[in-house]
Amino acid sequence: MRAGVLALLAASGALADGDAWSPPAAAQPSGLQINGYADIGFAAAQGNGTSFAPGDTRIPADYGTDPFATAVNSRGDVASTDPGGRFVNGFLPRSMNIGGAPSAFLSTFDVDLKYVPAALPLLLFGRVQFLPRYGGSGNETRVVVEQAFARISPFASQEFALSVGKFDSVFGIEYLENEANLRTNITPSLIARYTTGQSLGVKAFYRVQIPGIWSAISLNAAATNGGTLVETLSPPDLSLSGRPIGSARLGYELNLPAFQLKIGGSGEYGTRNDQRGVAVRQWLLGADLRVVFGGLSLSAEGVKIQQDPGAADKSNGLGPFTLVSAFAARGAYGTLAYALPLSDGAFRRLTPYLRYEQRHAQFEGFPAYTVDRLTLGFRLELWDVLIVKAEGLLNGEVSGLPQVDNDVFTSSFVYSF
Amino acid sequence: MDQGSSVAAFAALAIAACTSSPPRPAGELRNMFDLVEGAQASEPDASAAVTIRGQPLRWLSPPYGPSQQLQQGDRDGLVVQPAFADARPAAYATSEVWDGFPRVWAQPLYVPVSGFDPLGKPIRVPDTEWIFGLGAGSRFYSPWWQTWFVTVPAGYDVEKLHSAEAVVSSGLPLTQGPLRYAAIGPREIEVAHPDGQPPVHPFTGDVLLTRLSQQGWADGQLIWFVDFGADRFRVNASLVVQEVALFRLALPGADGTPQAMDVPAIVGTGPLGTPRAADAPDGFPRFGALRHEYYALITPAPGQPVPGVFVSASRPELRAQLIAQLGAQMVPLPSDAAERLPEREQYTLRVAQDGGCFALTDFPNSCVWFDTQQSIEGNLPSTAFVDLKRFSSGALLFFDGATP
Repeated sequence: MRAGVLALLAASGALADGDAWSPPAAAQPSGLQINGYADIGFAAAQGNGTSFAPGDTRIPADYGTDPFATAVNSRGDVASTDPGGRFVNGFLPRSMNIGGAPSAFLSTFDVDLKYVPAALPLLLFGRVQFLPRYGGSGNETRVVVEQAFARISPFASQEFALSVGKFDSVFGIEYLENEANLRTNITPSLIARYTTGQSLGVKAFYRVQIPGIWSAISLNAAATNGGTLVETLSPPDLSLSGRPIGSARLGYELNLPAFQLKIGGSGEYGTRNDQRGVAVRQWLLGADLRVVFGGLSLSAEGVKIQQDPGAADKSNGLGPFTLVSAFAARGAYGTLAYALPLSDGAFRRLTPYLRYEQRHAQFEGFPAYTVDRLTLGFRLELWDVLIVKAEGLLNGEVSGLPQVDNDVFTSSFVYSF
Repeated sequence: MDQGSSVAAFAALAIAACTSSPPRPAGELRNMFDLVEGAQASEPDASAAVTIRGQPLRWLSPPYGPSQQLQQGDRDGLVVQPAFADARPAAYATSEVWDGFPRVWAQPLYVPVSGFDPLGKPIRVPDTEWIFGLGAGSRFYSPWWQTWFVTVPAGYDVEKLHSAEAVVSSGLPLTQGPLRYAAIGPREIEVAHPDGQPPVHPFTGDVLLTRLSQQGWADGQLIWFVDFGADRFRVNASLVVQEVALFRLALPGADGTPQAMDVPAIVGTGPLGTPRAADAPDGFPRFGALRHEYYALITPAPGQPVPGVFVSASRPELRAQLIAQLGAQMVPLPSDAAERLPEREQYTLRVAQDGGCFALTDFPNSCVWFDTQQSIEGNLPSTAFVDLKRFSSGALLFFDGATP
């Protein structure tokens, strides 16, 4: 019985924290595994696909709006970031460059390589992604090594793992759904830009099971180059400041047979990695909650971030910019989903979902603003390898910034192999 | 390297890695509030730009003027700084200083109007203020604005329009207007002048315009600004303000570093290495409002002509001060012919490549003056220019006899 409970706990934990923990490597068959997925989308955005308000000529253009609002895929790429010639200062996501024209696109072709040496408590993992893009300079396709790490689980009797390399964030819960084939919905939340970035460094994960109360407590901590901000805001592949950024999440989970509760608190502190000054700091605090009851699931997360002002040496995944402006933001989302089993045939499961979120932000010297978003959509699973998703994003400007037409319809067809 | 040395070197590297930071562009903006505060603390750069109320006006007091003149007692003053531009006497104020910025942009300024007259001239809505796109609290603030006329229909509640966000969200028609130079700052500041007298050019005595502070809105807050007028600068398609080089003549110090000479700066007509014809239609300068500052290092060599600073014998105190700083050889006495020139004061503190020209009969034509960008860049080696990584702003208050 006890062993069964432990197995159940371990399995549920692995499902929830897929990257954070996996069964001891020695227990898996050795050899190379190749997996992956393709995410093909179709989207249409209002206006010109950006969130830049017509008539607002303030500079930088990306300080008085939320350029991340018009997301069209699970990477958070937006329909457009074209500021119409106005200067921007690097507070931007990547763009699919579809603008206001409906278009199909290939968001991601992902190849995962996993190697588990026989009889060694070791897992070697690499994730390469091909991102076909077309932009102002023609073909802008990129190939990204999103993850490349070695993980060692030295104690067979303990859920303890050390990872070295480039890996997922440890902050909050949304990073668990970074990949399109894992994400219930399509687009990341408005706060995902702060918590879901991959980074390079070292990571430790430890979980202790408390079977008597069907519970477990886990700690996931990392010291990395870029912290947990997405790569366009904080480059993960190099430490510009020469200082690591520390991040961690402490979690508690209750795993009853028909009810699952997970809560966690996250923190991050270190030098901003979009500049080179060692005394220019940032910190983040976050809290998360997940409840699963039958087919119903609720996930919610909130985060607060504060960044110091720096000099005029801003540089991030999008290139060199100018001022390192002080920045503060807070935001939260809640997602409600219901997984409806359909059949054992082609149509396996239908999951309608709803997400509401708000984000409040302010750049140094600019007025504070608040935006919100309502996301409605569904996910349909076909056999075990195909997923069809569609959703609408209703973006709103609550206060502090001009109204702009930037709602989005987007869809996603994902196949896994 | 032996093991001990290796350990020491590694330790030094580790310590350096933990404590040092490579030089970085500062990204520091000092607006008028900061300059006033700096002047109150006697900070040199700020004091060069602002004279605190009741304090001596440097360029109007000895040794430059006959008697001490004090800034008006109830407000601070933007110093009228003498300069030369395109071989002519000029003067400018400094309302902002940027250190380590790559460029500076113009921001939007909204002016409520009820419409336009038959000539296309905007008709202001009575009792409304200008609405600035950005307050002075941002490092992206600049005193350069692209005016947008907001056409407000009759009966519209203009009290709703106190911020850029409100204007853009209102959906009211926007019509592009002129570029305008207006510096946001404290309420009690204007172009420096003594009590009861207007501002003047320190050497030529030309009377300059008084600039009174006015009220406006920025981000929903009431602010004060000093308006220096429309069409005072140019921008490119991305609203980047076009800079000109400003040269501070300097001599090498004992350690070889440039030591600024206490003479007026020279305002160029284009960026360094790109002098242009002075952009001054009808004598109204559109250049010189954004100045990228450089030292222009004059290095007198043995056997070569010695540069000279022109100061009339009628200014003995100023001559004595300069001789103490530069040596008598660099402050030669002008000839009688030079002293008799009616426009003699226009040459005060102008620097010639060879001070010997002051004694020649065809003065001032006998001199090669360091008073234009072309002359400075053409007569000094390219190594003479040291980028101070500094922008300063302030429209020309005086140029070639005009007081824009």
